[in-house]
Amino acid sequence: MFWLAWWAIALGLWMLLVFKTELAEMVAGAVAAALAATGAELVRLHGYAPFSPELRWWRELPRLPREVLTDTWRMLRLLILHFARGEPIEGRFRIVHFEGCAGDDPRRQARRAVATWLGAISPNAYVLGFDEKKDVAVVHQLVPSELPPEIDPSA
Amino acid sequence: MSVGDVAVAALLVLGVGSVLLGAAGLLATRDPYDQLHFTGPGTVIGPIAIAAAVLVEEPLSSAGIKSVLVALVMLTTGPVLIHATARAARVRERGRWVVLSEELEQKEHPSSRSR
Amino acid sequence: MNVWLIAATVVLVGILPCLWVAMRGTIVSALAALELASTITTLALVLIAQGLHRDPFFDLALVSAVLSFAGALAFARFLERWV
Repeated sequence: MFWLAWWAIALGLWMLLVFKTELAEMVAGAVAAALAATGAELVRLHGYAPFSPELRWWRELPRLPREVLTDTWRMLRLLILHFARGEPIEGRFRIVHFEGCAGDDPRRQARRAVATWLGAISPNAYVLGFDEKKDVAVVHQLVPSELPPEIDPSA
Repeated sequence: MSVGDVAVAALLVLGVGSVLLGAAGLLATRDPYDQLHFTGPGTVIGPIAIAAAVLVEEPLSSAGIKSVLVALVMLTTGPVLIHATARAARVRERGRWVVLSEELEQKEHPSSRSR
Repeated sequence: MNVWLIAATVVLVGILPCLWVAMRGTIVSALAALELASTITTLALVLIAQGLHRDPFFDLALVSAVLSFAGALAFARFLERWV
């Protein structure tokens, strides 16, 4: 099932890239997709990249465009003030509580990975890593905000 | 000049502007942790704006699809790269990944949605 | 000359600050500069592809995006303690 899903996605990507519907291209795409799906299945069987996100984490996506544009505007302002008035640019580290951080199961790993991506997509902050024993995430923020950045997809 | 041409120009200004903002920021800051922030706008806004401009000019074409794919790749991998570089910098500084006890004393709790 | 090629020229100017930081900054700053330069070249390839209406350049941009990621990730990993 997993193999078939990957095969379909890979074949779809091949057809999008070649943008033709000739039989030869479809056959070549099917073979290449089979190789890709086999590789993905082998990775999954060996447990090299456990990743099992929750569907409800997608609800984080709509807030991202506004945050990206707002943060970019803040950085532009910071740069203008720096060049015009010599104001220093100094980011700082913030230690943010991240409940239930520890664990190597696919769900927890996916949560940390998605939190890392969510934290870094907006330019004003990014996640350096997690301390699983203390349930915290280390975040670096350029323009300080009153509240720490929101990075937990399951919050 | 049609509406489409104006839209293309505006999107290109946005995309190219975000990249140049990053380049200017890279020059303005010294600390690598601060510099990494400025690689962000070019990786997120740049590809999306430029892909949108391609789609405005040539909707449903091979060019449009490929530029969207480029944008998707950059959007997914860019933030990961920023994280990996920052983490590597910290490991290089301290010999291993560690959160210092004095840093842990400043732990904050996220509450409402605000950046 | 069209608006796409002008945009490509302007975006390529952004490589100069990256070059400066790579030469003068610390090794981590140099990696940050390399990452931005990779972004710039990928976007320049997309702009040139559209400006010249050459489809293969889009494939170049896609490959550049993927390989830049892999290369910078490898650098970041080695930066931890081996470089």
